[in-house]
Amino acid sequence: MHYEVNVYIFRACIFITLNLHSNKYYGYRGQILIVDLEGSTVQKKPLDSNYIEEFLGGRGWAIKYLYDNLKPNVDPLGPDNILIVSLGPLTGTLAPSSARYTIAAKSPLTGGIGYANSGGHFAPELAYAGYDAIFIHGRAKSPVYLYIKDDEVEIKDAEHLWGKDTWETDEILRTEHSEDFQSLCIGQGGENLVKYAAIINNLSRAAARTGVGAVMGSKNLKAITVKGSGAVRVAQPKTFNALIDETLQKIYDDPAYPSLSYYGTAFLVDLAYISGGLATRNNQTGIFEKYESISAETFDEEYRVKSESCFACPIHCGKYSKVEFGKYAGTKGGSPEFETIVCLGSKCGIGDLSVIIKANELANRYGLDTISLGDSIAFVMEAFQKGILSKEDTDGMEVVWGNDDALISLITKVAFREGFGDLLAEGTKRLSEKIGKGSEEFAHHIKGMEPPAYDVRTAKAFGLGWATATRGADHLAALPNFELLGYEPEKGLEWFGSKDAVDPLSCKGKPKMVYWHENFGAVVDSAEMCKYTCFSAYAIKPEDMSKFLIYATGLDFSPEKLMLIGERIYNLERLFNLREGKGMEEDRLPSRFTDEPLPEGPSKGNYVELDKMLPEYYKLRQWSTDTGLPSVELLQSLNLFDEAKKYNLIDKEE
Amino acid sequence: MGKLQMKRIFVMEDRCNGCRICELRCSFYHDQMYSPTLSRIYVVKNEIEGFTKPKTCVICGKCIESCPENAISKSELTGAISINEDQCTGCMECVKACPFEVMRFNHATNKAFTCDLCDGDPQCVKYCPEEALFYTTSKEFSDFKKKENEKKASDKIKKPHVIPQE
Repeated sequence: MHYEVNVYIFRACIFITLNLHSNKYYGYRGQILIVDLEGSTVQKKPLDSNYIEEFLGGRGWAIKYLYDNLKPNVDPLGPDNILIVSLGPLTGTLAPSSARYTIAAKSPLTGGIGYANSGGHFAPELAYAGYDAIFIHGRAKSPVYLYIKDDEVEIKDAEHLWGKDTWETDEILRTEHSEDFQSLCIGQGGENLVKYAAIINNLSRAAARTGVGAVMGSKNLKAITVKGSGAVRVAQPKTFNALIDETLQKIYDDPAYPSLSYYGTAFLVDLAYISGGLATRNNQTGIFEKYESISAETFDEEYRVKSESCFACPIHCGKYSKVEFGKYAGTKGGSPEFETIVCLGSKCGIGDLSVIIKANELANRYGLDTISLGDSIAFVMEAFQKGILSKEDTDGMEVVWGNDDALISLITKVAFREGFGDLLAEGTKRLSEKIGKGSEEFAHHIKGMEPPAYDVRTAKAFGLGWATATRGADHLAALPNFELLGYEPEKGLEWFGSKDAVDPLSCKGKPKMVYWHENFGAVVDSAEMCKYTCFSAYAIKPEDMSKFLIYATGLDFSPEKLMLIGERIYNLERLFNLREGKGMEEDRLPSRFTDEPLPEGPSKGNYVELDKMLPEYYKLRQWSTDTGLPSVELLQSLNLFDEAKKYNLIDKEE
Repeated sequence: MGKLQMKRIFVMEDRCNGCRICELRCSFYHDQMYSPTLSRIYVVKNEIEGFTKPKTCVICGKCIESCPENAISKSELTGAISINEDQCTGCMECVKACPFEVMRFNHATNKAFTCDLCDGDPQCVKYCPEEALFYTTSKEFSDFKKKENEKKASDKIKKPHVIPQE
């Protein structure tokens, strides 16, 4: 087999080219980069066909590489952790919403599997440069960034970028190289190892969850900047494009399309409010009295300027906004998403979109996950309410519900780890462990990660999905939107074996719903398509995804094979967590969601009946309800037996 | 064609959201590949200011004047710029002469290329999801813009219901 092995050694400036490379793949580019920051070397290697066959791309490759190359119990912020950027077989094509990429590492926030996903324009650029993934090892002695211009790959000095925020970094890189370079980078949050630091591309697109930005910071890696001038070819161009046209029509016909396209995810604020699940004051209630001032209507009338699309996306839910009046006049940029509006808004008792837009801008510039950030501040506010914390603890600030000055000031303190911000930068779990005094009761996290916006007491499949998600409190692992879309009961019966599956307040059919969504979700994240295309209109189901992948790659990706790949990925992530000592005892929800019924509103009295759903879910997964460990049969069918056996992670009773 | 007004591509900048579907439709139509580098149209942006603008050939003819090989002319069918590849030597004089930076260059083939209006059915216009691109005459486009400007802001966009309607 002819392939290219280029070795670039920075500083010594040695450049060796062995064979000339021609891509034997369609869809895929056929080439990966292995970067060693310790020795300042970059290797180009051919893509491993086993990775394609068994793990598809993106998120699948990330867990495969981490499981095989990371020893258990490594320090997530030490040089042994590995940071992975991975694309999918559709990246760079016209397939709708296919511009996403995965960033993964062992999470400093949870100690388990960490990954985040982002859109924008970075991923296709890396594809056009000719790469499928970047695997980054070691730690640089001083700040560096990775420069990629087609075949040229170099580790460059980033001393001048260190200390800059993500917007400044992006601009400097565009000025130094060229306007058409696309970059992902960390801000001060990642540099200062904030446990929930994000990686940002295109100023407002965040690979935010699980603290991947802190891992990047710990490696002294400030940015990756890319220009690709190549092309992506697909195996059956005409059929592939015809399938795109057919899929576009399905997307446009989705009843939710006009709202999502025009208002962006802000329209979910209204949906959450109507269901009584608009998380308010650290989830003490689901009814926010200042709902109107953070609603989609207000966003549109006062702040929305225009749509700002990810590459090749027909939905373009991203919005550009501007604050014209008041204390935060002049603030502009990518708008806060639904999660941000709630976590930095209603969860903190903030009923003013201009504050939330400002807070979002700061979080983007510093590179912070708005969900974990907002939740951590909401936790502090409840501790104030309960008298567990006072202004003596918080640098003299009254961190009380609705105090926008405190909110804004805390964000900067977190990014720079100043004063109380140093504690807050550790996330809710560690913060409450430090404070004690019963604060653990309302310290909301799962597996160490703070929960998203929607109050799951009004959506039971989402509740189960939070508990079982491999990366911690996560609405996106399952994203079982099916229960929220008002489908006819017959459809619930057909898809998930119960007419009640279409009722968000019912537990029936939900284990199966979560199981299916998690498996297919892993496929979607590995094909690197946006979940909005697959789980909003259900415009792309496994049989459609199969067609996309077959037409793009020419390889055999039947729907059955894809679902097996999804299940394999999910289980390998599970094994990764088990290997780190994170098992079934962590498949829990914060007690507020299981033991405290919603006090008011349309879903009053509801809580998540987790223990009703969990055993059925374990059974579907073929995990022991006693030990949480996977069965031999399951592991064999997924070709993961050796992976589990090596670390004694197989259920003994089987 | 005489004095008959030829159609070309016009842009409503404020409608463009920067999705770059136009770039992919263009490269796919011409080369059966997805590649912004091979696209005749491209989108420039300033993300801090929220500014996006698609750029493509306006058929000003400066390239025709600049070509030392007389390889560039206007298509009889559409009026689009037409480059005779056999005559093009890759000297890049037309690239330098283009005032709008839309004469592009393929380093692999060593030839210049630019918008050919897809023989009268420009794919970028056909597939722009925001209807930000128009294939029309300058007279018709200015009339259209005039009408758009006279509309009240509230009439310009049909706002959907926040809560999805079946």
